[in-house]
Amino acid sequence: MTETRSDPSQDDDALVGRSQEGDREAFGELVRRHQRRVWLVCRQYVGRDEADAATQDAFLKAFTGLHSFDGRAAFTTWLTRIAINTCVDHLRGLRRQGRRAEEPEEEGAGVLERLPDEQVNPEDRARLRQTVARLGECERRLPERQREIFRLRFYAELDLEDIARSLGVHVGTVKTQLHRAVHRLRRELGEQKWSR
Amino acid sequence: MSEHLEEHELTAAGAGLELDEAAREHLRTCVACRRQIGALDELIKARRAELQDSAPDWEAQREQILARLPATGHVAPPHRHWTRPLLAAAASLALALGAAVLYLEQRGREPGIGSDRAEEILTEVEATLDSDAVAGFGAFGVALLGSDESQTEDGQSSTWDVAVAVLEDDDSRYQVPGLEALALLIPSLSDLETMVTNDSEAS
Repeated sequence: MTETRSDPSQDDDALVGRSQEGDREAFGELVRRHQRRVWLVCRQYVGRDEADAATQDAFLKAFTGLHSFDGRAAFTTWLTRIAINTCVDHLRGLRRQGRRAEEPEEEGAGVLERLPDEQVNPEDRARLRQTVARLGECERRLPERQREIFRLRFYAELDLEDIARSLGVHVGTVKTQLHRAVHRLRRELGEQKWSR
Repeated sequence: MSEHLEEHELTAAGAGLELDEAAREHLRTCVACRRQIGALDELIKARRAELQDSAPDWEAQREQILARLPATGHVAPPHRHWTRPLLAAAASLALALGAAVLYLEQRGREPGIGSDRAEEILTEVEATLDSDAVAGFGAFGVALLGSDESQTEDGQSSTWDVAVAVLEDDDSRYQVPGLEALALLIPSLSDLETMVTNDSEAS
């Protein structure tokens, strides 16, 4: 186990190969490497409260479907696609139960509150907090596709190619939608002057 | 170029998209433009940090995932991928044979392929299955849909078997090419099942 954990030379492909042969420790390392990203993807689709369950389900689906991974796409892309599909299924399940996912952004500004004073003075902190909240509001008003791509790019930190493959669209579409999203956010937010 | 970047260039830079060389050069030297882009970047970072603030305990989550993994063999080795198209081809061949035999029988003509050939094909299909299971399919049936006898044009009697291969998993029947041709002669899949069942019981 230690060998797997501490061996950065093991790339995803090697770990996938070992996992396909039933090596659970190798799969555990894949989980470790990708769980944060998968969780951030799930969070944007199903919200904070359901994100953990959706993340776990996504990894289970990935494990049971690992034999179908043929390496034509990066493992990250394949896993992201599974995560998105899992979230869509999850939302359908909630709808069937007459429930709906929470709005992912409805929460306090926890991390901002805990920034040390020497980094952000109270005035700047308050302004930053307001602006971050406004960003969340503006995001929610984006067209669905733009919002999805914006969040995958900046919060899940996927590159453009990965987003395109994960969503099954051309990379040019991703660029166009991302440009429109940022343009709209810049326009709605106005020039931000909260910097220190 | 104007004194500062155009709006679309600031947007592209803020989105992390490509800029042309002139815009990149301007950005290297213009504090005002860099500040505009940097402001959005800082804001996005702050929001990302806030989103991650509610992240679960990663190690605990990982342990929960590993604890939920199926205990037994779950993953079919990738080298088995080739079996599915091979089996589809074999099943199609059997279906085509069955359809042809039925069609020719209706015409009252000698089909040209007798039960020996049908048995041979079925044997090949079954041998393939024995050597490598089909991932994802819980059941496989190869059925001889009874023996038929008819008169050929020259008045002689001829007997042959009709071969059909059926792949099934928990949810659905494997749709092999050629099923449509057989469906012209067999009204429905339920009839097909009946025929398979009857044949199994008979044997």
